[in-house]
Amino acid sequence: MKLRPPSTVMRLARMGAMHATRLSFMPTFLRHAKQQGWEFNQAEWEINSAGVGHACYRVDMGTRVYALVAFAHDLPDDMRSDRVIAEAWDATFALHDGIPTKQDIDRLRANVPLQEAGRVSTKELVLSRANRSGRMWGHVVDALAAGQQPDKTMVREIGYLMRTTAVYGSGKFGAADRIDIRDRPEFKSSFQVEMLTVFLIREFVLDLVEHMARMKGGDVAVPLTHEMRRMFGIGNSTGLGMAPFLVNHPALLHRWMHARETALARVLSLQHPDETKKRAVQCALITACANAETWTVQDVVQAKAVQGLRSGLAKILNNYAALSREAYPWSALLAFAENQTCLETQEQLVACLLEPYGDMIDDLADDLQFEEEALPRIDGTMSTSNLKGLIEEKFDWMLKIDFDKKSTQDRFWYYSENKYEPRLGQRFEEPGAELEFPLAIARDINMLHAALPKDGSLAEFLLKHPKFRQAAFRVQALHDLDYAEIHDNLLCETLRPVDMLRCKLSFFGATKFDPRSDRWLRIVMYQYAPLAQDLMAHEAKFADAI
Amino acid sequence: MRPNLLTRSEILSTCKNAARGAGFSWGMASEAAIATLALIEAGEDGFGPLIEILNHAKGKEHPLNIEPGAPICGLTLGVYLADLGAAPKPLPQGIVGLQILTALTTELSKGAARPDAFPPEVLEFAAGVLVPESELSRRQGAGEG
Repeated sequence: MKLRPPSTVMRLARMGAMHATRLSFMPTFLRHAKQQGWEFNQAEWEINSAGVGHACYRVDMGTRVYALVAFAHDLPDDMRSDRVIAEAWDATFALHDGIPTKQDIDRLRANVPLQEAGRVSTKELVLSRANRSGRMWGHVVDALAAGQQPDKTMVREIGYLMRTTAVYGSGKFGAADRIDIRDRPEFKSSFQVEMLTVFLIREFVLDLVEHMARMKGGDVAVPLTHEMRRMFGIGNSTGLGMAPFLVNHPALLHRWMHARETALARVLSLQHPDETKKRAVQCALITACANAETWTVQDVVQAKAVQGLRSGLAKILNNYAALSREAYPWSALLAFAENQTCLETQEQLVACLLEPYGDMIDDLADDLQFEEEALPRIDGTMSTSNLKGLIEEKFDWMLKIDFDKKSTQDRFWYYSENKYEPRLGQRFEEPGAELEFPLAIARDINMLHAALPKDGSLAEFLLKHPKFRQAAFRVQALHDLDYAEIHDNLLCETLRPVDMLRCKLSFFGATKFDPRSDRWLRIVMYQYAPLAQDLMAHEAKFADAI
Repeated sequence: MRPNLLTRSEILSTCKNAARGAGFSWGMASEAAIATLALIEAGEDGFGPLIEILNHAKGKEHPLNIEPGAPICGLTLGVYLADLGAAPKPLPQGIVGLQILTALTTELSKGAARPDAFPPEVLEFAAGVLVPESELSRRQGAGEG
């Protein structure tokens, strides 16, 4: 089975055009929740008429219970900021491992609203916070309070009532390390504890907006209809803080990409798909068209991509009948897209092709974790000439970049004094390049290649040149993991860090990517997804409300 | 459950930054952090030998001397031995932060409680990797979230 090569898949331009697929972490979470019959309930609701207080949402998985403890705050408008340096939010959250006691709630109340300035414990798995959407929140409260449903077009376009500005897991601010929970079956796939948290946050936010409407409208107020509730997801605002993740977790990135490309290869290998599947792919393409119509962005680059997506999908649908009659129709369709449409369309097509084939590919989503500590440590007995050969064989594209040119080293990544957040600087205009964060993979491996002598052991070489240690480690540990490295220069003056964010967020299952600059973007999670009540009821389909 | 317990990832990231802040390369800093955590999880003092090594390394050129006769950096020698898969004995005298070398070259037990706080020296060294945000960076928008 032939997979698309990393030279195609691992380019930032394509990674920045990737879409959520059924292997993404949100759909995976929803499938598991449904299949395993998890029970969700609102266990506590102590929120006053001003919208201040706490609530607790539990999920009972049979063997374990988890609880989202949510704190609602009365935040003045002028304090609402999505920046990571903010100090107050409309709502703050912690996911607790088990059923929290009153003492736990008191402890969390004293810490969770402070976020980074507070401290949670190893009984907490995730820490998060969210702000209201200025446009949406007031409109929905007013509409419901007056006995009306909110404006559907507006809800479709915005897609959320609150957006999270951080979802911290894995040992942050005192919370349990990932290693403590990684063997639990419910968290076996990537980011499942974070996906659970955001799912419960969505339930809380929907209940809170109805509560506020009741407080305002009294008997006149109405709740959201079921259809309307499903139209709301949770927004998210993400910046450079997330960008280094893909570079710092190369083996995990490989696993994600490899799973996705394997799924695609399985589907492309079908010679004569049945008519039901052909209709399902067509249906997925039509849905994608409808979504593209409501996808509005200000960013010039992304706006052009969305325009390309609309026309690209139209082209595919216009030729669908003929192409889907060919042998290996999905290969034909993808080849057509590769020749005739933009990257945004090609990657949307990939997602549509995977959509009806859960029975063939969902197993690939079941074990998408990898702990980077499990990578082998450096083998210093390897000869320097062997290492050089490995670089030439597996990382040759890095050797083609001329790092003597100013433009290829124009940027540098660093930790800012503001909360240890990663930032991107301009090497020749700003101070601090000597402290750059090690994301210059292509440059460092290129320089390692140039510095390696013909003879001697790697251990001796690294003893004399410890600055190459990380580069040597990556070459040794990752040379067989085709999708571990981004095939682009992360120091280049034309770098758009949002491409890295988009790739990761597409694996989360996010939609409505909305870059606000080349460094940060907004997205929506779980829009149109089943609600907790749907997961506990009969058949629930991920996108049947669209 | 202890509310103030440092997490493994906090220990790893802070110690890595501390070693980098003292002048070690990122690759070496990563080894220092892993060794410090291994000592702590074995119930030993991990921060003490790390601080010794960082104080010893501060302001010096790398690679650090590992020849007998002068103080020898336990991190540098430990990493070298671990790279070769070599037995750590017999060791020369005068190794700074010997426990870090031991952690890099032997398998230690796990499961001990982690401490509640970092020694101030580790935090001071860790702050050495931070860069003040420039006016240009602020103007361009560092990004939200």
